[in-house]
Amino acid sequence: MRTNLLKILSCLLLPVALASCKKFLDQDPVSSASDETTWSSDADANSSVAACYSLVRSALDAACSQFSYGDLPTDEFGNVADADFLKIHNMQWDVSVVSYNAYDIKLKLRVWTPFYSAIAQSNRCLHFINQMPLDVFTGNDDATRLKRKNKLLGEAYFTRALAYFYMSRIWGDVPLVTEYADDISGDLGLPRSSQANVLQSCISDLGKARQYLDIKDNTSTDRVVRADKGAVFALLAHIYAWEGSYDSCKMACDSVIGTGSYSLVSGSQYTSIYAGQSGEGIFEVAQNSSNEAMNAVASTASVAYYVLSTPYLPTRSTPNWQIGSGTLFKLYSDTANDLRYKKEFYLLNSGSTKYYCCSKYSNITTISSNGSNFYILRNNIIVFRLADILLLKAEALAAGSLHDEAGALALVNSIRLRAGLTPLPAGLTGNDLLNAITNERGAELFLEGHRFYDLIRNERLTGGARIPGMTQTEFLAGKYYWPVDPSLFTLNPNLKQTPFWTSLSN
Amino acid sequence: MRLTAFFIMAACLQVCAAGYAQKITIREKDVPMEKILQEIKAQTGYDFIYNLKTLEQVGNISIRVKRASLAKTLDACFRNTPLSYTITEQIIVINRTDAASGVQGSDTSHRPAPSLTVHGRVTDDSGQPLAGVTIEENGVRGNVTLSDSAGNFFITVKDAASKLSLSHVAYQTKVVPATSRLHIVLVSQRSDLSDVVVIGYQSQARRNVTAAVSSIKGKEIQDIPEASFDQMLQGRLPGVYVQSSTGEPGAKPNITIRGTTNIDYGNANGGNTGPLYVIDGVIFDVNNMSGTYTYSNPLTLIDPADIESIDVLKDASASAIYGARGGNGVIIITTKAARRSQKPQVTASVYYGVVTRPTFKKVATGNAERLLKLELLNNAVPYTDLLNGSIPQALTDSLNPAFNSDVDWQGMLIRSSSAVNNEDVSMSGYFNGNNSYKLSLNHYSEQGKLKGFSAERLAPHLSVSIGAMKHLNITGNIMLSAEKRHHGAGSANTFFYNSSQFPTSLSQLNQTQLDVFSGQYNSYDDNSVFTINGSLKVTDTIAQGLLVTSSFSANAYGDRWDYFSPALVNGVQNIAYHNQANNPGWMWDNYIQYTKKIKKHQFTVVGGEATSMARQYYAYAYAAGISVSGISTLQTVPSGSNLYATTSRQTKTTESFYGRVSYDFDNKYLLMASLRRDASSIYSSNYRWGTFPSVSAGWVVSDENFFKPLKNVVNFWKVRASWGITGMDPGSWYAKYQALSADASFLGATTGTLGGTAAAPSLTGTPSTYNGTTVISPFPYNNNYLTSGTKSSKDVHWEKYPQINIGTDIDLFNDRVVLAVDAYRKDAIGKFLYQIPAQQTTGYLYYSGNYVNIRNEGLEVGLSTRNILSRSGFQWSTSFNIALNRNYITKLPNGNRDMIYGEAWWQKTLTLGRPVFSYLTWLANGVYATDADVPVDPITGKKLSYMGTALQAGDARLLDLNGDYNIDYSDKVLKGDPSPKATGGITNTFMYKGASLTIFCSYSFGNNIINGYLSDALNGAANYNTWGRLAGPAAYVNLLDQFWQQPGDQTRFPRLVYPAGKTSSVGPWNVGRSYFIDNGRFIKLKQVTFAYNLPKNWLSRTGIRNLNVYTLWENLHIWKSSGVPDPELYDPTTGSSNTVYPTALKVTFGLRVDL
Repeated sequence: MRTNLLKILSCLLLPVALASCKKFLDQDPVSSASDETTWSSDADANSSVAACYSLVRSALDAACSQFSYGDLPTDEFGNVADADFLKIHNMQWDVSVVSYNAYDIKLKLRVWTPFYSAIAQSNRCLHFINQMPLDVFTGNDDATRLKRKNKLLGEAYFTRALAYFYMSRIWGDVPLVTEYADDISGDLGLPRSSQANVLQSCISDLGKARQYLDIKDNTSTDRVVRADKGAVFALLAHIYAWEGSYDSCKMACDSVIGTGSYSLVSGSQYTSIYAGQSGEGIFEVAQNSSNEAMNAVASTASVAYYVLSTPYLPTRSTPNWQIGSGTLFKLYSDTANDLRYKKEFYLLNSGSTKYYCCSKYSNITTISSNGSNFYILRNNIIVFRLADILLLKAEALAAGSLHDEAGALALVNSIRLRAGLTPLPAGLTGNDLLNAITNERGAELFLEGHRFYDLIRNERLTGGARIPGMTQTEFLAGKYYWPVDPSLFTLNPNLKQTPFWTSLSN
Repeated sequence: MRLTAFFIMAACLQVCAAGYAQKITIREKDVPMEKILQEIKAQTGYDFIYNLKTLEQVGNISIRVKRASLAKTLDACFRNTPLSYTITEQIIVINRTDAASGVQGSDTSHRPAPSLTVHGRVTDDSGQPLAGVTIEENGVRGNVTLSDSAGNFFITVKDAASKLSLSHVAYQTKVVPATSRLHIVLVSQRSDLSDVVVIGYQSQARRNVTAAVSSIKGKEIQDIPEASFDQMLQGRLPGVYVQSSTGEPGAKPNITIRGTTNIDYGNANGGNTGPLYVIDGVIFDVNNMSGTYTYSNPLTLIDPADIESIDVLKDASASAIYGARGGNGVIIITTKAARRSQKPQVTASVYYGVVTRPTFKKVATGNAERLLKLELLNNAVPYTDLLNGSIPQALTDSLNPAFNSDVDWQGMLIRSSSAVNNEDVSMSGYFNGNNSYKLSLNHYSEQGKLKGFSAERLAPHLSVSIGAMKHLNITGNIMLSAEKRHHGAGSANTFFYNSSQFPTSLSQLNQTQLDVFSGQYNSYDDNSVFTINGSLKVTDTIAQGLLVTSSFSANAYGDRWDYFSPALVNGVQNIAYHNQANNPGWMWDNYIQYTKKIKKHQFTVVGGEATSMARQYYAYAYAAGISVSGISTLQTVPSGSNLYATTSRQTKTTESFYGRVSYDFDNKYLLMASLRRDASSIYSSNYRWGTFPSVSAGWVVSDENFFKPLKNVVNFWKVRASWGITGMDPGSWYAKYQALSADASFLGATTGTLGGTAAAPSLTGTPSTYNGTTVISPFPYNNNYLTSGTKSSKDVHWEKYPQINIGTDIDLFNDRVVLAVDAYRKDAIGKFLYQIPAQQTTGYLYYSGNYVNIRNEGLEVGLSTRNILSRSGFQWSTSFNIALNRNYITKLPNGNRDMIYGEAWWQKTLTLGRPVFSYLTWLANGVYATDADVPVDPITGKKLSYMGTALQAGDARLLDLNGDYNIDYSDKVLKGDPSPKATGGITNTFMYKGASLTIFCSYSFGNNIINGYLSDALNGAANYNTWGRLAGPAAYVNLLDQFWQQPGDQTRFPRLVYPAGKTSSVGPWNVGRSYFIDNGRFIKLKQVTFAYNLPKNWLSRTGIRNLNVYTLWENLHIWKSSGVPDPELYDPTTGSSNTVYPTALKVTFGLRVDL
């Protein structure tokens, strides 16, 4: 009996011993990635930071968003065939949409969630990369490893600032989230923070990013499509310009220009800018490789689908977003010489109708299969480039406390010179000069997501109402800030509608 | 071929049986009689029944026989002794020849001579003689005898005042006054009070059970022609709801015990809804197993004929001993054990049968179809539609012989009858004293009603128990099952019963098309399931009443499904698929049982510890674009985007401690309490351990003295109450981990890969990189505009199910009426919900966590009555059960906001106070008979519209809930409940002599199902352009008068035919409308069995102990109100019934032989 007892006891104790070994109950997933099992190598951190950019890309492609926000509601277009995009063009941004119709672009453009995903990913990167030990980062010594870690942190600060800047221009005041949240179940909904606070947070983020990031590395395949010092200053310049802090804007522009990393491409090479990673690119969103490209005919996503036509896109007989010839010939008054007009636009005669089409985004690869053709659009989204910063500096010089009108004019003329145009006459001042700069930006940056905001800044400075869908009164009431979609209010009692649109709600 | 194996095995067993009992050789000198008998037993396999004292009186004997027969040996043995013997069915009963002088004790000579000899005969209630009944004189120790094979016995008692007590394990003990001639009828145990109920780690007599446990004998369901036992439980046990989504052979049913708590919409995250199965004390956790084919069922491992009994633990006090796994209830299966007889017990049974065709739908064919369709078009379609040639030529050109076919395809596409057959053989017995074995083999085969479907299974089961030492017992058990199935066209969908694809009678189908429609074109569909469940158990009796058990069990469920999908079927290209799921697991369970009785106090204590591990391996691969004929697997396709493979592994470990004390005083006051602590790897260390307590108490009122006057009427009355908490885990094994994905997609993104269908190829591919760097984040976009990211819950913890149960058991009129009533309230607290809408500033679309509470309340009644027990042997008994259940949600996240699931046209909600997944629909009240009937908005002057499209005559009259003169999503209302309110069954059994007739009906009331069957059909036929190819309205001619056809018609359904291109703007046939919500109630005449036990005297010379022949008819008739073919078949979370595979009448003939 005693031996039996011993046997039994050992039988009982063995599994207990086995189980009380704590590891038995710790079973990590091996077939799927998780926060708990990644964040342990340089590559993990790098992939997570790359996701910040890919989420920005998703946000800017959600409904041709880069162009729907920045170009469509301006005088660039005279007519829009698509009924939904026409409403965007006309600034009828409050059209009711059933909240289940998640595909509807009117709803998509009112929903800010894609930007918050990019912000959340940036917050995650900052939180987790900060906790990662130095020795997992690439580098031969601690100094290089620290530099590498800081670079990744700097990029996360940049993408967060970029997303908030976009949102500030689109919605004005937006909720500000700058911390990683481990538990979101108790989130009762944040109110909007003032735009000034949000932009201050961006400036502060960029302050860190500029310490952490290097100037452009021309040898890197990631040049320009991931943030560097130049991108940080370009974004700062735009934030300051949007805030009206033109002196700070001028200094930020100088910092970009001062890096010496950027040069204007020659006038004959204009189209190379839009393919991406040209010598004058400062920050772009990558989507020009064949396995990260846009289906050129993807409806509600591909800008090419809306602005191109045959012969660039044989399936399109006429463009959907139709360029207003009035504005076009005002911007490009010298069509005989303006290389931008000659290189980036073409005329399509369809019956008795003439369509002027913009071919900036026409880097199309055709795949044929079984007699069917498929078109892949390989153009980066050009966010900032040198010509933009030069003209922004001109605006800052003209509008800032220095009132360096000659300097401003010289910058404008450098852009005109590249375009094969004669310089503007000296002596332009005040609103004339500001309008000339805005016009030059309009010509240089046509369909690059700038025009809408350029016109708003211009209107703030000059008081001239130049956005077709908005009277001056509406402008002063803030119509250019988008309404937020009613579906965002479902869970958030602290959220308020954008002021202009509150009065219109029915 | 299959049969041969069976007969070979059966024949072998026969030979073995015959081989025994022949030549005996013994040479012993002066040894106790008992030793000789043991030797004979060892050599022959015959058992002896004797009184040890009788043998001792005889003293030592000597014997010498060589190759002698049994009779000769026994004669030699008992020569010169006062003993005689009779041989009955392998049992040798030894009695004293001078029984009159008393068989008891050594003090015979001092007792006064008894004065009465009783000659008696015992029979059962059907008149069959009973052997082996113990007959004992009351109050006289040791004066015992047994009845022989003819039921005869004789015993000598003191005087006429003596009483005899007759007992037999299967019958109620009876006490009769002694008279010289007796005929006693023993009534079989009906009240089940002495039945043993297994409640997990211990068993109890039913009379002492304080929990809600429903039990069924394997005998009652064993012959039902289904592949697995779970399908046979439907309607048999109160509160156990068995429901299927398909009538496919061998398909896994859904079992819900005491109401649903499943909030995993569409079981997208595994559901984890099934009860816990325990087979002979070993946990077989089906929730840990995932297959490759939706309807694969690990429970086909268990041979239904091998089941002795099934006990379903329904309340928390019973199942809490299984703690965190007991939340969905526990089903305990006890397999048949060997009887204590050295002679092998051989049982063989077979049944063969046919599955008839399901009821055909009424279809118009040939010219009738053409005229019908043209008539409909003539009324409903504008002249331009008729003019522009959009009417299919098959309708307009009646002279073209190509369109003059006249075939009701239903007869061509399915088998007129398909075969089902089952063979079982088992052999069991004891050897060398305390050792026993049992081997059984089952073969089941069912052809599909639809060609191209079938299921076939072979399941052997071996258990061996060895009494290795005096106190030590070792049991080994191995169950194997190999199953092979075919599923038509490589998926559960068959073209034929997919009601939107029914072909028109006008066209001629070639053989290939016929093959496609009937699911036969698919040449290669190989779904093989292999399951093994083995255990080794060591039990040591350390001291009297103290048992220590250590049991190790392992199981593996492997489901492999390879199939080839030809371009002709899938419409794109030839694709070969490979799916493989493997689910190995083990558990080590150690426990102590201690039983002690001190006077009238009886204690049982159980305590133990268990560790377990479960794994899931999954591999999936396909190769698209195979161009070489004859290749059906993944060959010839070069590496690249057309050759795809993925594998995964998941692991779950658990550790548990548990204990239980049960106590009773005089079998009258009953108490039980248990506690279990479980830890699982699913949770982080802070939330790992869960505690699951329970208590229950019972009072046998009828045993009280004050109750005595009533005892003639109420012979047993127990009241009981219980409370306890069980648990459940969330299904996902890595719920606490924040999942990340490498999704870098954006709207319109492509990787430059071509995909789509052959007819409409497109650019596809989801980028996973940003500028070449693989991305990783919790925010996949899936080419949509919103992230579909879900924030994982860090504090995911056990779901807890507290439950209160109050019940009573009442037996009336000497057990002629047996009633059990249970009322319960079962809460599910902290149900894990996967997709709770998140604040949009978090970047996530959803978060997950333990946020939902659900309550199920109900009443269960089980009633069995013996209505007629006539002296002639005719009996009629009825067994009835009903379970009423109310299901509603008591807590939701985000301030109890509604959670809405499904597509816009297909919505279900979780709404506070409402049943789980109530339907969200537009209420329709007939149609607008004329254009003038459509209301006009007095302010705008516009007509009532649907999503902006003005309504007209023939459109459904949908309720404009918010009065804005536009029907949109805000006008939907909650209507319909997928959970039945009352379920159950009724069995009537009629017996006369050896014949019996059993009629079983099951029923379900109070649920709504969505008639996806009709909706699919109508959507498929909505466009009359397809009427030349599809049957369209010709397939539901019996409904035609219910559609609006011309102004003035007041009908249930909207207009049948819309002008070209107009259907979609008002979407009349999407299921989210109240006219597709049907009442799901039904009564099914489920099984009728007629069986006959051949009289024993016919069999006496054949060596067959029992021969039972029967015929069983299944699915005879259904009374229903829904328009679907079988309202029992529906998807449990969506409530939709779009029957692709119907049930049908099965007729089987079988026989069962005990050797």
